[in-house]
Amino acid sequence: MSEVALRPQGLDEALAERRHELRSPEVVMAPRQLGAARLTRYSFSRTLLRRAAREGWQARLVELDMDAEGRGHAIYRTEAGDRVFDFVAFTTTVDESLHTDRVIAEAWEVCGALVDGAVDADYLEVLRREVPRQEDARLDPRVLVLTRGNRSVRFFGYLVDRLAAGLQPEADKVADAGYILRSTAFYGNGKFGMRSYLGYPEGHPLRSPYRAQFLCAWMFRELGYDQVEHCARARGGDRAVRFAGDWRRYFGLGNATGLGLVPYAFKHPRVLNAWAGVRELALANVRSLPATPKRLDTLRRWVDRAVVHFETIGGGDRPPWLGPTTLAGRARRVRARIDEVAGDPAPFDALFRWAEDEDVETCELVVSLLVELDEGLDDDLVDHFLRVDEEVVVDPLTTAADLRSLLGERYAWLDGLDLEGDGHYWWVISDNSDEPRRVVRSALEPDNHDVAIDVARRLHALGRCLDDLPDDAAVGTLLAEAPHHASAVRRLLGGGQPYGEPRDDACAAGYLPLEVQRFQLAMYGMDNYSPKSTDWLRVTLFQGAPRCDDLGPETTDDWVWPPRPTEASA
Amino acid sequence: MAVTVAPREVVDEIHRASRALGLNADLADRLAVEIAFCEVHHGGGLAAWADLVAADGDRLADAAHVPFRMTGAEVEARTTGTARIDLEPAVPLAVLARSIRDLDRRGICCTPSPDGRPGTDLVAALDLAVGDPDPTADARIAERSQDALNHGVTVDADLWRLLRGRSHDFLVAESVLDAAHVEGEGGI
Repeated sequence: MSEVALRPQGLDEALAERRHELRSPEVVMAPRQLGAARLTRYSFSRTLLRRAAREGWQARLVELDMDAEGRGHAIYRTEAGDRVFDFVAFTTTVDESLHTDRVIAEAWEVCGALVDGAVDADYLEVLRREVPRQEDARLDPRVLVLTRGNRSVRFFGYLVDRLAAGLQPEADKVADAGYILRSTAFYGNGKFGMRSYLGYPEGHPLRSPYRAQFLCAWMFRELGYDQVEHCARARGGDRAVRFAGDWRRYFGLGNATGLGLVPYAFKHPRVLNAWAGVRELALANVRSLPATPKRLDTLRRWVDRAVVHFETIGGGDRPPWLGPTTLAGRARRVRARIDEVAGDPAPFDALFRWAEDEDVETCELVVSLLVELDEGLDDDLVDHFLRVDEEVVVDPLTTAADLRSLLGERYAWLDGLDLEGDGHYWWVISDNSDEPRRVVRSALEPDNHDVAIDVARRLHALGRCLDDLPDDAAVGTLLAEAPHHASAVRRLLGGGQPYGEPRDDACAAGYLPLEVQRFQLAMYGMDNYSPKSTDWLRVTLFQGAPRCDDLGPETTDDWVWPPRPTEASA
Repeated sequence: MAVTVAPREVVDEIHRASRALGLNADLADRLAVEIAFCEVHHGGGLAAWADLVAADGDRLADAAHVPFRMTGAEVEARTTGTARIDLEPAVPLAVLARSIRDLDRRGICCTPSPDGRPGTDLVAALDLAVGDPDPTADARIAERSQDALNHGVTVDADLWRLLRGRSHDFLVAESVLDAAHVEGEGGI
């Protein structure tokens, strides 16, 4: 059978064909449900490492030139098939008072770039000049990703002290710290002169959405370990030790995420649809599976892993979300429920239906756990589904009657929102690091500086306009007279994907950015969601993941939700 | 002097700069797509945009309307077989090159043809007629687009600097946002 024959349909067809088996868009795209999403086996961090292991990628540190405080540079090389990718990081130290998670910070302890190809001495100097400039950098298409971050103020020094003294970390001292370094941005796709994502040629190992960013993030995480061990050696000499036992993998990469994700979510409905659609197809696959001892054992192992992970992290709730201790309790209830449904002819469906009636976090935890059992989607197919074509063709002969009909069919949920008036907020880009922000309209008028993510309001306004048009009025004529409806028309005609639209108004007074942010972060493969305000949060990625040295044919995919190491396990 | 930029940067910068110059989001969106397409496939996109900005009056806004006027003309052409748009004053090819390509894909031929002409060439009138799509055009355009996505597009450094300066005006100063009590640091 040819490869093409294995992919008889695209995502849209798959979702349409199986729509009666899938969760409804009203449920999946409801803000609270989005805000309860968790990573799955199809999240980008997971698919990257599975592919790297399957295709025999090799990754290693090739150069580390740092002083005793960890200031200097490092180069990590990944060999993927016949291609080489170098992650180059420039490191320094900044005063603790200048540490901030915000993307608008001006000082960073780590600035890095992922380069397509091996970096020679001359190019290293180019990168040394440009990469620390971040948003002011002028890069070239050899560069795929630009990133930056800081050390964990609480733990970097502590970890150095311990290793320098010949000791491993103490479990109770790291508490909920799941990382050594904390990143804050992974720019790519043509920004600052970098390669455009759509420019990656056929067969390129990183030609899947966000794969380059996640390779970069995985290297960034590796840098944290190497920096700590380097500083410990410099301080402790022969007495110093390296991370050992379960500590070798325990730390992930921290990330601080702000409002930058929100405009993306509202501007790319087909991308959101693909992310959610893959998960929903996988869930439907698993719900239809009959029980086997092996499947039930696998599910129990995953739930046990979740229980231990959340329990050992510990800590109270993180409003508006549950915290690790509560989640551990929820996971224990899931574990008990599995035993109750194990004899059911469709136990996974029964488990899901039970979870649906619980709170949203329990429900999405169960979804994440169940998707671990999926046998129906292979990684190539998922990559295929995730590469979406975002072009929308507007046929000018489309009539007002057609548009009205589509609006009712695809956007009936707008009726549940209060879309009269201008909205409480408008969205703006700050001159400091291009960071999106939202402003209360009564405090500052947009005056043509607004970022147009008011999708719901634009569609609502289009609907009002259509009410006044005859059925046979052509959209081409409408746009000639009222071009300010163009984006709404394009959205309407290009829509129709079930999971493309967060059912929300980003300009409403009660809008909570955290919800769509968490959905995106979960799809990336991040966890340990820790909100710091209504608008930004901290997360961890690659916690428990294989290190560069671990990558090989035996690399397994069961690394997420690691238990915190104990003295015995270290 | 030249600088290599990604096509999406041209889109982003033209959009922002045009917003800062008073265009609404929809006009700026379309104009940005047209200019970027022209820069990649014909050259002269940025130069044409700069000429419009430098001109008196509402030249930029009027030019940004032209792609939408073309959709209206397409309705007429597909109903009657032909249509004509008179452009007074004439507009640079750069603001409608992408729309001409789109029309061609839908079987509407435009005169004058943009082939071989830079984006700064002025167009005083556009004739539309139902015809046959050029079967080779898509492949030719796709190849050039892919090359630009992969390797970037080379633009004049002075024009790029001018554009960047204008686009910066779209951003709002952090101090203004702070004074307006911007959200983002609040509790939950």
